[in-house]
Amino acid sequence: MSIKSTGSPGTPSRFLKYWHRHNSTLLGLGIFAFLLAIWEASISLGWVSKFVLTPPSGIIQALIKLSKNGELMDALATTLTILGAALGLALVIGISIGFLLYKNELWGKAFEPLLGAIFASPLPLMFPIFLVLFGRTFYAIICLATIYGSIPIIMNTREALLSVRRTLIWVGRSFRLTEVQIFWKIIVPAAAPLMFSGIRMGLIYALLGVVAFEFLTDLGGLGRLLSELNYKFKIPESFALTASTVMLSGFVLFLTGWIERRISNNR
Amino acid sequence: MLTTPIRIRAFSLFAIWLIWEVNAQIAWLVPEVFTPTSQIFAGLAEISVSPVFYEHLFFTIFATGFGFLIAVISGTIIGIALGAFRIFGRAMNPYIAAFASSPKIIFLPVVMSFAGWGTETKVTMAVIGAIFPILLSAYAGMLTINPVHIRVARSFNIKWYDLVRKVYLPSLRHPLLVGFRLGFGAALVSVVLTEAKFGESGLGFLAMQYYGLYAIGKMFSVLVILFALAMIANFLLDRFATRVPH
Repeated sequence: MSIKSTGSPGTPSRFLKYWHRHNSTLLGLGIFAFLLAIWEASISLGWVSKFVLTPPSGIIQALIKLSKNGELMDALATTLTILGAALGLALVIGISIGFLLYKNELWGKAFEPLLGAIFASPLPLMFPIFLVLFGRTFYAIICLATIYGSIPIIMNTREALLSVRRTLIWVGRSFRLTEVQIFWKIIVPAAAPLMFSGIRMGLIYALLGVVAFEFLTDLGGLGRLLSELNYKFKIPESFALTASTVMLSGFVLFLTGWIERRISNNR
Repeated sequence: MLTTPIRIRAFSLFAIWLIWEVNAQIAWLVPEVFTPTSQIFAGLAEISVSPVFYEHLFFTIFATGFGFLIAVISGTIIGIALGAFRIFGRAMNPYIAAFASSPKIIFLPVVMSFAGWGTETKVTMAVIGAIFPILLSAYAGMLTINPVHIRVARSFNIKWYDLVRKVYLPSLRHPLLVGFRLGFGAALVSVVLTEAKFGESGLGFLAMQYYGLYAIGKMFSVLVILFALAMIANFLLDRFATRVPH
């Protein structure tokens, strides 16, 4: 490839410089746009029935319709409220238990494999138990999402606190810091990046739990709305809401990834 | 007494069982949920002699197994391709991550619009559930392959399929097995949740049917079987992983 600037010979053009810096992002956008174009064309050319697959233009129209009548925003607000409650509880429970398991090494070693086994087990299958326990209420969703979200927080909090280098603590002691000061000024900042990784995973798992449970029980926000639209055979709206949920997950992932990088860089 | 992790684990599990059982016997806190373990075992014994149960079990195992198999093949191929062509891997990573982190059950209406209400939907949902952990494990594994191995293979003018067979796949055995274990669990969850929502067969449907009839002991029995299924699959894959040489 020999795209050169019109200025001094041998100097790469602005386009080339931009391409070298962002080539994977631009390529990703290009592939994504290409796939959308094929999807759109396959329906406009009649290769696939529009009753089976909604084209991207139809999804955008349905998304605008759902946004204008306020259904999408109401559902999003409900889901985020439930998620906020579940995450808040998961943070309190997860960090407290993680801290206790860090302080008591023997109990920490005993519970680590159990927590790992629970985390690897198909926890969402427990949802009928929560239905019996709380009925079809928001409490059932919050409780399941809290449990789902708190396990990675517990595991990562303990792991993060254990990973703090002993040298840092000895330096603190040589400056005659109290145990409380060592904890808040040395251990917590040093453990923050790994702890946040756990919080990030907890948030993602809590979101999975909330939306899935809403969908299964026809209760709450985005999941409930998706189920309702599906029952009414509103296929374009169903596609639009699925796309919105994927975008929400992607946004949460991106935002928490960005915060995680900031915390790691500010250490 | 509680001086070793194993003793603490055994004590904790025993304490949980004891609290559950005592609560169930005196019917103190939410007796509908904390059914006596004897009732759960009785439910297990009752449904295990019913031919209808085996039909439901077959539907769940078939949809999970078939979907998992498709996900193993396609996830491995895509993961290797994205790892071999790094620029494509980096380009597609954010999109794959967004899909992987979304609750897979939300794709059910989309899948139903082209696959209908039958087994095809369950199989497709199993594929959607399992493919992401497998694909991401294969991709992550590809990034850890020693580039020297690839350069040496290329210096012998090796064909691409031999590169995959003799360099990529042997190096990816362990990451792939981790992906398979996670993928199987995800496939089972997707299938059971699909059955619970719209199914007319399968263990998810059976659990919801018992929930509807308020036969909580039997509902627990189905959940116990589902967890046992996941554990058996995990154990078998684990055994397979330990036999694979490093």
